[in-house]
Amino acid sequence: MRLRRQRRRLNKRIEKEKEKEKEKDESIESLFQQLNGSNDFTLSTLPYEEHTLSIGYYSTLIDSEILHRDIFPFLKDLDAISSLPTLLPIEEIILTTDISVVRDNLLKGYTLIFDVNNLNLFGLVKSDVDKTRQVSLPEVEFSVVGPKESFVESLDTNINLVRKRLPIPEFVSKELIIGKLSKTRVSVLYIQGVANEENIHTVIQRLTDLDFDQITDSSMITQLIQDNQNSPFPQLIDTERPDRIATAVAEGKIAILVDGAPHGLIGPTTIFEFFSAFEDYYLNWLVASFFRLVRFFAVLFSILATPIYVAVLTYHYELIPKDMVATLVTSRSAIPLPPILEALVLELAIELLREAGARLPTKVGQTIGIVGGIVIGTASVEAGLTSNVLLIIVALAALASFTTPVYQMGNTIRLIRFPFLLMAHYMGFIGVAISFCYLLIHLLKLTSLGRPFLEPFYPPRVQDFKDALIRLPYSLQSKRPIQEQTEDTMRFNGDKAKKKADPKK
Amino acid sequence: MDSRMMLFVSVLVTLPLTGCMHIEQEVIDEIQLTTAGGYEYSEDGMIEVTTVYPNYQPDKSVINETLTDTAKLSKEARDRLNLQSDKPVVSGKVEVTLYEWKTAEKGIFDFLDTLERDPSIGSSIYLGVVDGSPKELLSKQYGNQDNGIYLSNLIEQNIETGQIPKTNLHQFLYKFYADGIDPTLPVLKQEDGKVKLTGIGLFAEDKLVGQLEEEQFFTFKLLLERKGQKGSYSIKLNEDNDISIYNISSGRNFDIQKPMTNSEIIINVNLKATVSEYQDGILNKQKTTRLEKEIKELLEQDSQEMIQQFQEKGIDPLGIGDQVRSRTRNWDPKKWKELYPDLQITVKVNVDLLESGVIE
Repeated sequence: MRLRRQRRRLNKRIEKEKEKEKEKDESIESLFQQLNGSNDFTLSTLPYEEHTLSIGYYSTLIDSEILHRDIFPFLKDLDAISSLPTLLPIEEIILTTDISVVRDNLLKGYTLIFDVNNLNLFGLVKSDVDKTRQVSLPEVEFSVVGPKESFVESLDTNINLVRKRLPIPEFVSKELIIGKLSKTRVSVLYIQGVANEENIHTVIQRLTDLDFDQITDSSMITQLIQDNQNSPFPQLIDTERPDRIATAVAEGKIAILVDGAPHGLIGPTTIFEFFSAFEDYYLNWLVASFFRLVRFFAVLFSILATPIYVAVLTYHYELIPKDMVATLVTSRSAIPLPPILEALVLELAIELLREAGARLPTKVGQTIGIVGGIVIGTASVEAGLTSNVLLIIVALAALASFTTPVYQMGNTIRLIRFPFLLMAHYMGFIGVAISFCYLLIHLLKLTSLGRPFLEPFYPPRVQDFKDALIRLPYSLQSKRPIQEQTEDTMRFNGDKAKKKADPKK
Repeated sequence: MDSRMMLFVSVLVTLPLTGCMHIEQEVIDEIQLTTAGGYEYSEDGMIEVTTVYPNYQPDKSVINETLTDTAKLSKEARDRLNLQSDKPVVSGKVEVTLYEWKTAEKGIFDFLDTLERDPSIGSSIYLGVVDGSPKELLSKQYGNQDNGIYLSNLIEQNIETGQIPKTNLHQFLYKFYADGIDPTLPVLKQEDGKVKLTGIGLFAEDKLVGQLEEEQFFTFKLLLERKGQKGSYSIKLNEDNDISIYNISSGRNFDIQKPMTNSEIIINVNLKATVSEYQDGILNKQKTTRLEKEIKELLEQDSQEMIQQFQEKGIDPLGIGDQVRSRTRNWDPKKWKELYPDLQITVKVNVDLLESGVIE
């Protein structure tokens, strides 16, 4: 085993060295030959009196306005390439002799300027086109109260949105390039002196060790670096709100932003954070706590309601309250399907509706929702395929699963309902109990960046309950969560927070 | 790797286990949910079992249907009932079981055995004695309702509003097995398509020996419950002077000076009541005080008579023996049985009319 690994490592090193040698061998001519293979690469020669300049760029990557306004008019006064930085009104100019630097930067939207007679020095002028979406309203995590900015597809804009909320030098953004083909810029954000060093190293190590060809979104990073990739539960929070990222970072968490992704990632996290909407922090603590509890109830209801219906109707008729027997029996009497099939048909119908609604354009999607919800539901009850009691239960369970503020977790909730259903049919309540045990065991074993996922329940940490199932007032939140193992545990002076600072009359 | 093995092994272990559980599917619309059962001895000593099950119609109305058969054992009867039914008869939703008067006089413990054993039957189901034929009572239709639920609601409602003392399978069995206390059950009677609670059946062990009439319910409840409330009581004070009082709260305690001797046992009853109806004009303070005295005397007299009746029959539904037992070391039930009929038991009632309504 070990020998084989060593040999593989050796092979890799040899390959790398070979590549390096290749790069060295590369001449400007062979580079142009390669680049000319693409039609959007332009190379033009400008014969001036003193010298002949050559200009090369990707017409699709650069902003032609910059080229015409800030580069061309100045070039005729150029005496040598080395004086480019002083001549052009652009601050990002690279002078290099390295062909590989030339190639990389051309592909980033730089314009190459060089003297045809002097192939030893190349000037690279930044002239990339900056076409990104405007910062707009958050659509996935909309909130009534609080900031209404959301991330866009540009990493710089996104970091700007976070940094303006944390204008301190300790706030660090470490940039990495990931993806052999996509060369995606990935930023790791944290506050030096607050975030746990081990957590920072874990994130950076996992990111740098990634050997992947193409990263197009942050959700791919989640899947690639999370602790257990086979778990249906996401182990990093996915958010489009810069205020959420800023708060998480200030709390000692670590955020990951990916160029081209309008979502950032937060870790380490716990399962309870997935059920807290960020609006919870903008509402009064009583109201926020109530809404949180409602959401937890909704999750339990969403997972357990249909399985319990199936279990009770298939095995445990004794449990039905005497006043409900008539309702249930009448609604079931005309239905030819056993409870499990009835439930599966309806659950799948709801999933179809959701999927159809998600894939279709907004306007058509709404119609589908109405048509599906009202027409199919009533029709299937009238046709005697499903009972109306179950229709209500399934619809409520689906609705409850949509209350989860993090979209990815909502999907998980809808998925794990199906094993519960099957077990409910197979063994009744015992089946539901066994499924629940498996779920609990899985959650107990799960970690997020090596930190327990079910904290503060397991391991029990009383202090962290202040912001888990309920959210206590800010005056009691003077310490950062134990979960994060922060270097600096205090957010503010807790004793001072409890005093009323108003002057006495 | 090891976690996958663990998962594999645990799934492997749990799946065949279900083979041992013998869990049968009982889909709710594929079973005959019996909601009440009636038992009586037929002349040849066999048990005649009548069960009623609701037939839910698509227009939400309920038609009650009954099945009757005779057998030696009640579960055997159920198997025979299955022969008449299109769906398997199950007993998990039984709410009430009824026993014919004469059957109850012979003892009902044999019938209770199956209720005790069957895990699908809860201990909170109601038992009742029928003055008449349970088969006839169960085969009638009482409004648009399932008969079992109707009867169970009838009993439950009267317990909750304080007309009759709390009773169910659990209570019956507790009082049956306990020393020094005898069970009671409500007595039902069907007349002209209506069911009425006509009395409280008194049991010696599991044998019915008599019943309390409607007028005695209030006094019985007052003496039975350590802390009680609700329930109203109408008293005829004289020819055209009636009063109805409502129990706000009552308390009862035993004063047993020398347990297990012939010495007197005093039952102190403290009744706080309100006047809910009075037929002789305005109530003032003097009148109220007089009324309190009259009611007290009536209640004491009623109680004494009731207890005397119990002592004559040798039964103890009030649990006096239980009270004595709790005050005695080395309790001897045989000795108590000998002592009980001749004991001097005195009831002392204290009536407090707290309110007399809003009449000005």
